[in-house]
Amino acid sequence: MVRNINFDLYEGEIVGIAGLMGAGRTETTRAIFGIDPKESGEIILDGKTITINKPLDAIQAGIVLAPEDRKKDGLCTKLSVRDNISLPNLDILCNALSIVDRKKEKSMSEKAVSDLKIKLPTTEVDAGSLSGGNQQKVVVAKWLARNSRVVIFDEPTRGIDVAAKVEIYNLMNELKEQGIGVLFVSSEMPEVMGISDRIIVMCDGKVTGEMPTNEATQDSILMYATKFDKKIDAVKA
Amino acid sequence: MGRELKQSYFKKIMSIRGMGQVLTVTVGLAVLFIVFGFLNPTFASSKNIGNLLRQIAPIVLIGIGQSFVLITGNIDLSIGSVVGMSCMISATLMTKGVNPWVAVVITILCCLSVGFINGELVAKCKLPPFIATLGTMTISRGIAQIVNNNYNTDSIGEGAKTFRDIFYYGKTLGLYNTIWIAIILWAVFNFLLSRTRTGRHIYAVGSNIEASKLSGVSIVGTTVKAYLVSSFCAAVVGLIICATSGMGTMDAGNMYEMYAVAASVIGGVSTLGGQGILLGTIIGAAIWGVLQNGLQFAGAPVAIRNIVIGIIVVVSVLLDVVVRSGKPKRKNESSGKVGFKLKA
Repeated sequence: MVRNINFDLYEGEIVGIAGLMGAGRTETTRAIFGIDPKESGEIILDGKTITINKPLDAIQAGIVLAPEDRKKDGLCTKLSVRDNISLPNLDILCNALSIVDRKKEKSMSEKAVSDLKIKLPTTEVDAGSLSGGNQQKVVVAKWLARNSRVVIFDEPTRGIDVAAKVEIYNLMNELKEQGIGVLFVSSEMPEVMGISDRIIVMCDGKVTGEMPTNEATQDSILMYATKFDKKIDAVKA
Repeated sequence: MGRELKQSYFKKIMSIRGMGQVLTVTVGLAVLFIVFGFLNPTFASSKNIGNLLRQIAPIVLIGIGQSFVLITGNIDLSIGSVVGMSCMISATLMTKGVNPWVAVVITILCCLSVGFINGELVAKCKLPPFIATLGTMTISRGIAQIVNNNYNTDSIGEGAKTFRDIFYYGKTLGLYNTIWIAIILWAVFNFLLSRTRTGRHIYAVGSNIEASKLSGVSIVGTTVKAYLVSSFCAAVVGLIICATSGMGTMDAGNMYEMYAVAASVIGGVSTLGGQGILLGTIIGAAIWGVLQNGLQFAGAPVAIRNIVIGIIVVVSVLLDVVVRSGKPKRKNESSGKVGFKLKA
């Protein structure tokens, strides 16, 4: 359950969402992307209010999400890397009769693989057979072939090696330079402070703090991240 | 030069997913064929092969339907009853003097409605596919019985002669029309599955429902489409049976859901979803046909044939589950090595 979430994201900016486990960060990204239903609230993109009831709406509006759990939500592990990359982009790859253009598909997946330096023998191997870092890159690669306006990364560096982490950071910076708004959820504080331009801190399903990164310290983030309503009540009582 | 071309062509074929498995099964088919041919030379006569192909064609069709549903990670048990329903509805309409082609259209629409209900129950209402289609299986069989007041119909009459020719008795270019129907529908559905957006969505849903949803795939729409294909194929098979016997029989298509599963699974379609190709379904159906027909020629009673086919299905599913559940681990290791090599 998250409520009263309100924040802005500008183009060419990376906003990090920090907080403890269970603060409602993943729920927030899922609600924005239209996976879980929203009771109320609106999303305004480029000055226009957009309605998102399902992920397809979000994708068409230009908001995409690289989810937290790559095995469960991110990849079809039994399908090839090529299939995985083309899956959300079939609207671009298909002609009017919804027949897949295989040449376009092949070049799209090969370009994505070389852009992100994904290590694999061919794009035909099972996505599930790759290492964690390369799988994460495939999850990200799925969304880069589109002209998205907002890219949401949910814990993109969890469980992957340092080299792959650096590549994910570089990628986020590249997206930023292209004028894309990047929303970045992470539990690792140094990471959030290192890469974001602005930090939003969440606690118990609410935004409790917002600050530019240069004013943020680990202590201030932690303070906002532990601002529980109930705890304060208990102290008062 | 020619040899190089051949090699690249071979490579291209082998690079299709699931092709290795299909080739293995094809070898099995060839072995079975030779063994039965030795046991009884009449089995390998050209006349019997023509009959065999005509016997296999309906199984290919229902196998296609079942494969679509299996690839989405579900199962359709209502196929056999829909075959019976199709047979009874079309025959009843024709005996009542309805134009055969109008009857065909009405029949197909009725059967598609069963597929639609199956898809909605499974995807939207989240019923386990086994239970949902078990229910519609019983309902469709009930409908098959009720359309002519619980009697088989009389002969569908002279007016339906063209209908019978087109669906069963006629020949085009030396092949029975039934075989042509199977070939054409196979080509259409194979194209649908391997080359179109719907096909990609079907594989994706079977592989990982959550990830597909997050990639903007409509789960309900895709599942319904798969069940529609299944019931359409069953409807066509019902029409073929109606044309064959010239009357409607209430228990037409009995056990066909089992045969459909057999054709798909033997041909390498995974019951876990997301894997398999329709070429395998043809080979699976052919193995089914060769076993049925060959055991008959070898003098085995129906009971033995049922037991053999049952065992083969169970063994194929077992192999599938064992191989596929062990596969990711082993592959992970080997690809890790590849990554390492690239680094060095």
